[in-house]
Amino acid sequence: MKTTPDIFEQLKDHSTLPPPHLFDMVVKKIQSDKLNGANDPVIPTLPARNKNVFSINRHYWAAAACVLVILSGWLVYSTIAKTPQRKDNNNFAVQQPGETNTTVTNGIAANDKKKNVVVRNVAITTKKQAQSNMVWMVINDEKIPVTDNDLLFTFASYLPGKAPAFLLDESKENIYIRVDSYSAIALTPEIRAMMKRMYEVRRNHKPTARARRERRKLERWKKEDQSHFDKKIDNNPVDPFDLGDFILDK
Amino acid sequence: MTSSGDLIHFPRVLIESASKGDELAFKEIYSKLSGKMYTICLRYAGRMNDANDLFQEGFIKLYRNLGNFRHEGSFEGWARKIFVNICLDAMKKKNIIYSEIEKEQEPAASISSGFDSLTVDDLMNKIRKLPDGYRTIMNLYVIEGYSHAEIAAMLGITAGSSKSQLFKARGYLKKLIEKEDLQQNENYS
Repeated sequence: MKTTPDIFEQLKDHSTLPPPHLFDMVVKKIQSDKLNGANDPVIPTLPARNKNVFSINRHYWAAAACVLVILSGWLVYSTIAKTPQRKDNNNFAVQQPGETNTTVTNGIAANDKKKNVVVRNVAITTKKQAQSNMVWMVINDEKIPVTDNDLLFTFASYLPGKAPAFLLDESKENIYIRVDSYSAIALTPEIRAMMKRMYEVRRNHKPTARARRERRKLERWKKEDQSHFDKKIDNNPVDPFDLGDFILDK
Repeated sequence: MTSSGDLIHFPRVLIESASKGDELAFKEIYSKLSGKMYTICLRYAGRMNDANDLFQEGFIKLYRNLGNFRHEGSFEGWARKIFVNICLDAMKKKNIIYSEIEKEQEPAASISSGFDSLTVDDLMNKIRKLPDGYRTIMNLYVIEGYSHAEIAAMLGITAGSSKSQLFKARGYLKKLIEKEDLQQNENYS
Protein backbone atom coordinates (compact mmCIF):
# COMPACT_ATOMS: atom_id res chain seq x y z
CA MET A 1 0.00 0.00 0.00
CA LYS A 2 1.27 3.44 -0.81
CA THR A 3 1.62 5.82 2.09
CA THR A 4 2.57 9.39 1.45
CA PRO A 5 3.02 12.17 3.96
CA ASP A 6 0.41 14.93 3.78
CA ILE A 7 2.99 17.32 2.50
CA PHE A 8 3.06 15.49 -0.83
CA GLU A 9 -0.71 15.73 -1.04
CA GLN A 10 -0.45 19.45 -0.39
CA LEU A 11 2.18 19.75 -3.08
CA LYS A 12 -0.22 18.32 -5.63
CA ASP A 13 -2.53 21.31 -5.21
CA HIS A 14 0.22 23.82 -4.58
CA SER A 15 -0.02 26.99 -6.58
CA THR A 16 2.92 29.08 -7.76
CA LEU A 17 2.22 32.27 -9.63
CA PRO A 18 3.97 32.29 -13.01
CA PRO A 19 5.96 35.32 -14.14
CA PRO A 20 3.46 37.94 -15.44
CA HIS A 21 5.08 38.18 -18.87
CA LEU A 22 4.15 34.56 -19.64
CA PHE A 23 0.50 35.44 -20.20
CA ASP A 24 1.44 38.01 -22.82
CA MET A 25 3.69 35.47 -24.49
CA VAL A 26 0.93 32.86 -24.54
CA VAL A 27 -1.59 35.32 -26.00
CA LYS A 28 0.95 36.57 -28.52
CA LYS A 29 1.70 33.03 -29.65
CA ILE A 30 -1.99 32.17 -29.94
CA GLN A 31 -2.67 35.30 -31.95
CA SER A 32 0.26 34.78 -34.28
CA ASP A 33 -0.83 31.20 -34.86
CA LYS A 34 -4.37 32.42 -35.44
CA LEU A 35 -3.12 34.71 -38.20
CA ASN A 36 -1.47 31.69 -39.77
CA GLY A 37 -4.71 29.74 -39.29
CA ALA A 38 -2.87 27.09 -37.31
CA ASN A 39 -4.19 27.63 -33.83
CA ASP A 40 -7.92 28.02 -34.03
CA PRO A 41 -9.73 26.29 -31.21
CA VAL A 42 -10.74 22.80 -32.14
CA ILE A 43 -14.52 22.71 -32.03
CA PRO A 44 -15.93 19.31 -32.90
CA THR A 45 -19.08 20.45 -34.64
CA LEU A 46 -20.41 19.56 -38.04
CA PRO A 47 -19.78 22.04 -40.83
CA ALA A 48 -22.80 24.07 -41.90
CA ARG A 49 -24.80 22.45 -44.66
CA ASN A 50 -23.73 24.96 -47.25
CA LYS A 51 -20.07 24.17 -46.67
CA ASN A 52 -19.32 21.11 -48.72
CA VAL A 53 -15.89 20.60 -47.28
CA PHE A 54 -14.93 17.11 -46.21
CA SER A 55 -11.26 16.29 -46.18
CA ILE A 56 -10.62 12.56 -46.41
CA ASN A 57 -7.01 13.03 -45.30
CA ARG A 58 -7.99 14.88 -42.11
CA HIS A 59 -10.87 12.57 -41.25
CA TYR A 60 -9.39 9.30 -42.34
CA TRP A 61 -11.02 7.29 -39.59
CA ALA A 62 -14.33 8.99 -40.29
CA ALA A 63 -14.05 8.05 -43.96
CA ALA A 64 -13.45 4.44 -42.97
CA ALA A 65 -16.43 4.60 -40.63
CA CYS A 66 -18.55 6.10 -43.43
CA VAL A 67 -17.81 3.13 -45.64
CA LEU A 68 -18.75 0.78 -42.83
CA VAL A 69 -21.99 2.59 -42.19
CA ILE A 70 -22.79 2.55 -45.90
CA LEU A 71 -22.14 -1.18 -45.77
CA SER A 72 -24.56 -1.47 -42.88
CA GLY A 73 -27.07 0.64 -44.82
CA TRP A 74 -26.83 -1.76 -47.73
CA LEU A 75 -27.36 -4.62 -45.35
CA VAL A 76 -30.53 -2.97 -44.10
CA TYR A 77 -31.68 -2.36 -47.64
CA SER A 78 -30.88 -5.91 -48.61
CA THR A 79 -32.89 -7.35 -45.71
CA ILE A 80 -35.88 -5.32 -46.88
CA ALA A 81 -35.51 -6.46 -50.47
CA LYS A 82 -34.78 -10.05 -49.50
CA THR A 83 -35.46 -12.74 -52.10
CA PRO A 84 -35.85 -16.53 -51.63
CA GLN A 85 -32.73 -18.51 -50.77
CA ARG A 86 -30.82 -20.84 -53.04
CA LYS A 87 -28.75 -23.77 -51.87
CA ASP A 88 -26.08 -23.97 -54.54
CA ASN A 89 -23.51 -21.58 -53.16
CA ASN A 90 -21.09 -23.14 -50.72
CA ASN A 91 -18.98 -20.07 -50.02
CA PHE A 92 -21.63 -18.00 -48.30
CA ALA A 93 -22.86 -17.99 -44.75
CA VAL A 94 -25.99 -16.23 -46.07
CA GLN A 95 -27.25 -17.60 -49.36
CA GLN A 96 -29.55 -15.24 -51.15
CA PRO A 97 -29.52 -14.95 -54.92
CA GLY A 98 -29.89 -11.52 -56.46
CA GLU A 99 -32.38 -9.98 -58.83
CA THR A 100 -32.33 -11.31 -62.36
CA ASN A 101 -32.31 -8.04 -64.22
CA THR A 102 -28.91 -6.79 -63.05
CA THR A 103 -26.40 -7.15 -65.83
CA VAL A 104 -23.64 -4.62 -65.67
CA THR A 105 -20.12 -4.83 -66.98
CA ASN A 106 -17.69 -2.60 -65.23
CA GLY A 107 -14.13 -1.89 -66.27
CA ILE A 108 -11.23 -0.61 -64.25
CA ALA A 109 -11.71 3.01 -63.23
CA ALA A 110 -8.49 3.98 -64.91
CA ASN A 111 -9.68 7.35 -66.13
CA ASP A 112 -10.52 8.60 -62.65
CA LYS A 113 -9.08 12.09 -62.33
CA LYS A 114 -9.49 12.56 -58.58
CA LYS A 115 -6.20 13.29 -56.83
CA ASN A 116 -6.56 10.98 -53.85
CA VAL A 117 -8.10 8.09 -55.68
CA VAL A 118 -5.89 5.05 -56.04
CA VAL A 119 -7.28 2.60 -58.47
CA ARG A 120 -6.07 -0.96 -58.11
CA ASN A 121 -6.28 -3.46 -60.87
CA VAL A 122 -9.66 -4.78 -59.83
CA ALA A 123 -11.95 -5.33 -62.75
CA ILE A 124 -15.46 -6.27 -61.83
CA THR A 125 -18.03 -7.78 -64.11
CA THR A 126 -21.46 -8.79 -63.00
CA LYS A 127 -23.63 -10.86 -65.24
CA LYS A 128 -26.64 -13.08 -65.03
CA GLN A 129 -26.11 -16.77 -65.54
CA ALA A 130 -28.26 -18.07 -68.30
CA GLN A 131 -30.05 -20.76 -66.35
CA SER A 132 -30.26 -19.40 -62.82
CA ASN A 133 -31.19 -16.32 -60.90
CA MET A 134 -27.69 -15.94 -59.44
CA VAL A 135 -25.72 -12.82 -60.40
CA TRP A 136 -22.00 -13.27 -60.77
CA MET A 137 -19.11 -10.86 -60.78
CA VAL A 138 -15.60 -11.38 -62.05
CA ILE A 139 -12.80 -9.80 -60.10
CA ASN A 140 -9.24 -10.43 -61.27
CA ASP A 141 -10.47 -13.43 -63.24
CA GLU A 142 -12.08 -14.90 -60.16
CA LYS A 143 -15.78 -15.69 -60.63
CA ILE A 144 -17.68 -14.72 -57.53
CA PRO A 145 -21.43 -15.00 -56.91
CA VAL A 146 -23.15 -11.83 -55.71
CA THR A 147 -25.38 -12.35 -52.73
CA ASP A 148 -28.65 -10.49 -52.78
CA ASN A 149 -27.40 -8.35 -55.66
CA ASP A 150 -25.38 -6.48 -53.06
CA LEU A 151 -21.59 -6.29 -53.26
CA LEU A 152 -20.98 -5.07 -49.73
CA PHE A 153 -23.34 -7.61 -48.24
CA THR A 154 -21.53 -10.21 -50.31
CA PHE A 155 -18.15 -9.19 -48.94
CA ALA A 156 -19.37 -9.58 -45.38
CA SER A 157 -21.10 -12.92 -45.95
CA TYR A 158 -18.37 -15.39 -46.80
CA LEU A 159 -17.82 -18.50 -44.78
CA PRO A 160 -14.62 -18.42 -42.68
CA GLY A 161 -11.56 -18.89 -44.86
CA LYS A 162 -13.51 -18.57 -48.12
CA ALA A 163 -13.12 -14.83 -48.72
CA PRO A 164 -11.50 -13.85 -52.04
CA ALA A 165 -7.89 -12.69 -52.01
CA PHE A 166 -8.45 -9.06 -53.05
CA LEU A 167 -10.68 -8.53 -50.02
CA LEU A 168 -7.83 -9.48 -47.70
CA ASP A 169 -5.18 -7.50 -49.58
CA GLU A 170 -2.73 -5.99 -47.08
CA SER A 171 -1.60 -3.03 -49.19
CA LYS A 172 -1.98 0.47 -47.76
CA GLU A 173 -3.98 1.83 -50.70
CA ASN A 174 -7.71 2.05 -51.20
CA ILE A 175 -9.17 -0.43 -53.64
CA TYR A 176 -11.95 1.09 -55.69
CA ILE A 177 -14.55 -1.08 -57.30
CA ARG A 178 -16.41 0.76 -60.02
CA VAL A 179 -20.09 -0.13 -59.86
CA ASP A 180 -21.31 2.14 -62.64
CA SER A 181 -20.33 5.41 -64.27
CA TYR A 182 -21.23 7.42 -61.19
CA SER A 183 -20.49 5.26 -58.22
CA ALA A 184 -17.70 3.19 -56.83
CA ILE A 185 -17.12 1.28 -53.63
CA ALA A 186 -13.93 2.05 -51.75
CA LEU A 187 -12.38 -0.75 -49.79
CA THR A 188 -10.03 1.06 -47.43
CA PRO A 189 -7.03 -0.69 -45.83
CA GLU A 190 -8.90 -0.50 -42.49
CA ILE A 191 -11.96 -2.25 -43.91
CA ARG A 192 -9.78 -4.91 -45.52
CA ALA A 193 -7.87 -5.35 -42.27
CA MET A 194 -11.17 -5.84 -40.49
CA MET A 195 -12.30 -8.35 -43.12
CA LYS A 196 -9.01 -10.18 -42.73
CA ARG A 197 -9.55 -10.42 -39.00
CA MET A 198 -13.16 -11.43 -39.52
CA TYR A 199 -12.24 -14.31 -41.83
CA GLU A 200 -9.35 -15.63 -39.77
CA VAL A 201 -9.56 -19.38 -39.15
CA ARG A 202 -7.81 -21.81 -36.89
CA ARG A 203 -6.11 -24.97 -38.20
CA ASN A 204 -9.42 -26.81 -37.98
CA HIS A 205 -10.98 -24.15 -40.25
CA LYS A 206 -13.17 -22.80 -37.47
CA PRO A 207 -13.22 -19.02 -36.96
CA THR A 208 -10.78 -17.69 -34.39
CA ALA A 209 -11.96 -15.83 -31.28
CA ARG A 210 -10.84 -12.59 -32.88
CA ALA A 211 -12.83 -13.38 -36.02
CA ARG A 212 -15.95 -14.00 -33.94
CA ARG A 213 -15.32 -10.76 -32.06
CA GLU A 214 -15.03 -8.83 -35.33
CA ARG A 215 -18.21 -10.47 -36.61
CA ARG A 216 -20.03 -9.41 -33.43
CA LYS A 217 -18.68 -5.91 -33.87
CA LEU A 218 -20.06 -5.74 -37.41
CA GLU A 219 -23.41 -7.04 -36.19
CA ARG A 220 -23.44 -4.39 -33.47
CA TRP A 221 -22.73 -1.64 -36.00
CA LYS A 222 -25.47 -3.02 -38.17
CA LYS A 223 -27.94 -2.87 -35.29
CA GLU A 224 -26.92 0.69 -34.41
CA ASP A 225 -27.26 1.65 -38.01
CA GLN A 226 -30.70 0.09 -38.23
CA SER A 227 -31.87 1.77 -35.06
CA HIS A 228 -30.75 5.15 -36.41
CA PHE A 229 -31.76 4.99 -40.04
CA ASP A 230 -34.84 2.81 -39.90
CA LYS A 231 -36.74 4.83 -37.33
CA LYS A 232 -37.00 7.99 -39.39
CA ILE A 233 -37.61 7.95 -43.08
CA ASP A 234 -35.72 11.23 -43.54
CA ASN A 235 -32.49 9.74 -42.18
CA ASN A 236 -30.75 8.64 -45.33
CA PRO A 237 -27.53 6.60 -44.96
CA VAL A 238 -26.18 7.78 -48.30
CA ASP A 239 -26.65 11.45 -47.45
CA PRO A 240 -23.23 12.62 -46.21
CA PHE A 241 -24.81 14.98 -43.67
CA ASP A 242 -27.15 12.39 -42.21
CA LEU A 243 -24.22 10.02 -42.13
CA GLY A 244 -22.04 12.67 -40.51
CA ASP A 245 -24.74 13.29 -37.88
CA PHE A 246 -24.87 9.58 -37.18
CA ILE A 247 -21.10 9.17 -36.85
CA LEU A 248 -20.33 12.33 -34.91
CA ASP A 249 -23.28 11.99 -32.54
CA LYS A 250 -21.69 8.80 -31.20
CA MET B 1 3.18 31.02 -3.21
CA THR B 2 -0.14 29.71 -2.07
CA SER B 3 -1.65 26.36 -1.43
CA SER B 4 -5.22 25.25 -1.95
CA GLY B 5 -6.64 21.75 -1.97
CA ASP B 6 -9.99 22.40 -3.66
CA LEU B 7 -10.71 21.85 -7.31
CA ILE B 8 -11.43 25.11 -9.08
CA HIS B 9 -14.90 25.38 -10.60
CA PHE B 10 -15.14 26.43 -14.21
CA PRO B 11 -18.62 27.29 -15.51
CA ARG B 12 -19.48 25.55 -18.75
CA VAL B 13 -20.30 28.82 -20.46
CA LEU B 14 -16.83 30.13 -19.65
CA ILE B 15 -15.13 27.17 -21.29
CA GLU B 16 -17.42 27.29 -24.29
CA SER B 17 -16.85 31.03 -24.76
CA ALA B 18 -13.11 30.56 -24.58
CA SER B 19 -13.27 27.70 -27.05
CA LYS B 20 -15.03 30.03 -29.49
CA GLY B 21 -12.21 32.55 -29.23
CA ASP B 22 -13.45 34.84 -26.44
CA GLU B 23 -10.20 36.30 -25.09
CA LEU B 24 -11.71 37.53 -21.82
CA ALA B 25 -12.99 34.05 -21.05
CA PHE B 26 -9.61 32.58 -21.85
CA LYS B 27 -7.96 35.15 -19.61
CA GLU B 28 -10.22 34.14 -16.74
CA ILE B 29 -9.40 30.47 -17.27
CA TYR B 30 -5.73 31.40 -17.36
CA SER B 31 -5.91 33.38 -14.15
CA LYS B 32 -7.66 30.52 -12.35
CA LEU B 33 -5.44 27.75 -13.61
CA SER B 34 -2.04 29.31 -14.11
CA GLY B 35 -0.81 28.91 -10.51
CA LYS B 36 -1.41 25.17 -10.28
CA MET B 37 -0.27 24.47 -13.81
CA TYR B 38 2.92 26.48 -13.36
CA THR B 39 3.68 24.43 -10.25
CA ILE B 40 3.33 21.25 -12.30
CA CYS B 41 5.76 22.59 -14.89
CA LEU B 42 8.24 23.60 -12.21
CA ARG B 43 7.98 20.23 -10.51
CA TYR B 44 8.67 18.31 -13.71
CA ALA B 45 11.12 20.61 -15.43
CA GLY B 46 13.21 21.61 -12.43
CA ARG B 47 14.72 24.66 -14.08
CA MET B 48 12.61 27.79 -14.36
CA ASN B 49 13.41 28.49 -18.00
CA ASP B 50 12.31 25.01 -19.02
CA ALA B 51 9.21 25.36 -16.85
CA ASN B 52 8.31 28.63 -18.59
CA ASP B 53 8.56 26.97 -22.00
CA LEU B 54 6.43 24.01 -20.92
CA PHE B 55 3.89 26.34 -19.33
CA GLN B 56 3.45 28.32 -22.54
CA GLU B 57 3.26 25.17 -24.62
CA GLY B 58 0.70 23.74 -22.21
CA PHE B 59 -1.59 26.74 -22.36
CA ILE B 60 -1.42 26.90 -26.14
CA LYS B 61 -2.34 23.22 -26.34
CA LEU B 62 -5.11 23.74 -23.79
CA TYR B 63 -6.52 26.64 -25.84
CA ARG B 64 -6.47 24.59 -29.04
CA ASN B 65 -8.26 21.69 -27.38
CA LEU B 66 -10.87 23.57 -25.36
CA GLY B 67 -13.51 22.47 -27.84
CA ASN B 68 -12.68 18.84 -27.14
CA PHE B 69 -13.50 19.08 -23.44
CA ARG B 70 -16.67 17.05 -22.91
CA HIS B 71 -17.80 18.57 -19.60
CA GLU B 72 -17.98 15.08 -18.13
CA GLY B 73 -15.30 15.47 -15.47
CA SER B 74 -13.30 18.18 -13.78
CA PHE B 75 -11.88 20.78 -16.13
CA GLU B 76 -8.91 21.22 -13.83
CA GLY B 77 -8.16 17.49 -13.98
CA TRP B 78 -8.37 17.61 -17.76
CA ALA B 79 -6.03 20.60 -17.91
CA ARG B 80 -3.65 18.94 -15.46
CA LYS B 81 -3.43 15.93 -17.75
CA ILE B 82 -2.50 18.14 -20.70
CA PHE B 83 0.28 19.78 -18.73
CA VAL B 84 1.59 16.51 -17.30
CA ASN B 85 1.66 14.99 -20.79
CA ILE B 86 3.54 17.99 -22.15
CA CYS B 87 6.05 17.69 -19.32
CA LEU B 88 6.44 13.96 -19.95
CA ASP B 89 6.97 14.55 -23.66
CA ALA B 90 9.71 17.00 -22.82
CA MET B 91 11.28 14.47 -20.46
CA LYS B 92 11.12 11.79 -23.17
CA LYS B 93 12.97 14.09 -25.55
CA LYS B 94 15.81 14.22 -23.04
CA ASN B 95 16.29 10.44 -23.41
CA ILE B 96 16.57 9.82 -19.71
CA ILE B 97 17.89 6.36 -18.82
CA TYR B 98 15.75 4.71 -16.17
CA SER B 99 17.92 1.96 -14.74
CA GLU B 100 16.63 -1.09 -12.90
CA ILE B 101 18.02 -2.43 -9.62
CA GLU B 102 18.34 -5.96 -8.31
CA LYS B 103 15.36 -7.53 -6.59
CA GLU B 104 16.87 -7.63 -3.11
CA GLN B 105 17.25 -3.87 -3.24
CA GLU B 106 13.67 -3.38 -4.38
CA PRO B 107 12.08 -0.66 -2.31
CA ALA B 108 8.98 -0.90 -0.21
CA ALA B 109 6.37 1.24 -1.93
CA SER B 110 6.10 3.72 0.88
CA ILE B 111 7.37 7.20 1.38
CA SER B 112 8.42 7.14 4.99
CA SER B 113 8.87 9.92 7.49
CA GLY B 114 11.58 12.57 7.42
CA PHE B 115 9.54 15.24 5.73
CA ASP B 116 7.83 16.55 8.87
CA SER B 117 10.07 19.55 9.26
CA LEU B 118 9.67 20.66 5.64
CA THR B 119 7.29 23.26 4.27
CA VAL B 120 5.63 22.72 0.92
CA ASP B 121 7.91 25.28 -0.69
CA ASP B 122 11.00 23.56 0.77
CA LEU B 123 9.86 20.22 -0.58
CA MET B 124 9.14 21.77 -3.96
CA ASN B 125 12.66 23.18 -4.14
CA LYS B 126 14.14 19.83 -3.13
CA ILE B 127 12.18 17.97 -5.78
CA ARG B 128 13.32 20.46 -8.38
CA LYS B 129 16.92 19.62 -7.48
CA LEU B 130 16.47 15.90 -8.17
CA PRO B 131 17.95 14.45 -11.37
CA ASP B 132 15.49 14.28 -14.27
CA GLY B 133 14.64 10.57 -14.04
CA TYR B 134 14.16 10.59 -10.27
CA ARG B 135 12.10 13.75 -10.43
CA THR B 136 9.79 12.41 -13.12
CA ILE B 137 9.04 9.17 -11.26
CA MET B 138 8.70 10.98 -7.92
CA ASN B 139 6.17 13.36 -9.44
CA LEU B 140 4.17 10.66 -11.16
CA TYR B 141 4.10 8.14 -8.32
CA VAL B 142 4.09 10.18 -5.15
CA ILE B 143 2.33 13.36 -6.21
CA GLU B 144 0.10 12.44 -9.16
CA GLY B 145 -0.68 9.02 -7.68
CA TYR B 146 -0.04 6.82 -10.71
CA SER B 147 0.88 3.17 -10.16
CA HIS B 148 4.21 1.74 -11.28
CA ALA B 149 2.45 -0.16 -14.05
CA GLU B 150 0.85 3.04 -15.33
CA ILE B 151 4.14 4.92 -15.15
CA ALA B 152 5.85 2.10 -17.02
CA ALA B 153 3.27 2.36 -19.79
CA MET B 154 3.54 6.15 -19.94
CA LEU B 155 7.31 6.29 -20.14
CA GLY B 156 7.91 3.09 -22.07
CA ILE B 157 9.94 1.51 -19.27
CA THR B 158 9.41 -1.51 -17.03
CA ALA B 159 7.58 -1.34 -13.72
CA GLY B 160 10.84 -2.52 -12.12
CA SER B 161 12.68 0.51 -13.49
CA SER B 162 9.99 2.76 -12.12
CA LYS B 163 10.28 1.21 -8.65
CA SER B 164 14.02 1.43 -8.84
CA GLN B 165 13.96 5.11 -9.78
CA LEU B 166 11.55 5.84 -6.95
CA PHE B 167 13.80 4.05 -4.49
CA LYS B 168 16.81 6.05 -5.60
CA ALA B 169 14.83 9.28 -5.72
CA ARG B 170 13.69 8.80 -2.14
CA GLY B 171 17.27 8.20 -1.01
CA TYR B 172 18.50 11.21 -2.93
CA LEU B 173 15.76 13.40 -1.49
CA LYS B 174 16.58 12.31 2.05
CA LYS B 175 20.25 13.06 1.49
CA LEU B 176 19.35 16.52 0.27
CA ILE B 177 17.24 17.14 3.37
CA GLU B 178 19.93 15.80 5.73
CA LYS B 179 22.60 17.87 4.01
CA GLU B 180 20.56 21.00 4.44
CA ASP B 181 19.81 20.18 8.09
CA LEU B 182 23.52 19.69 8.69
CA GLN B 183 24.33 23.03 7.10
CA GLN B 184 21.71 24.74 9.21
CA ASN B 185 23.09 23.13 12.41
CA GLU B 186 26.60 24.26 11.50
CA ASN B 187 25.34 27.79 10.97
CA TYR B 188 23.69 27.82 14.42
CA SER B 189 26.71 26.37 16.27
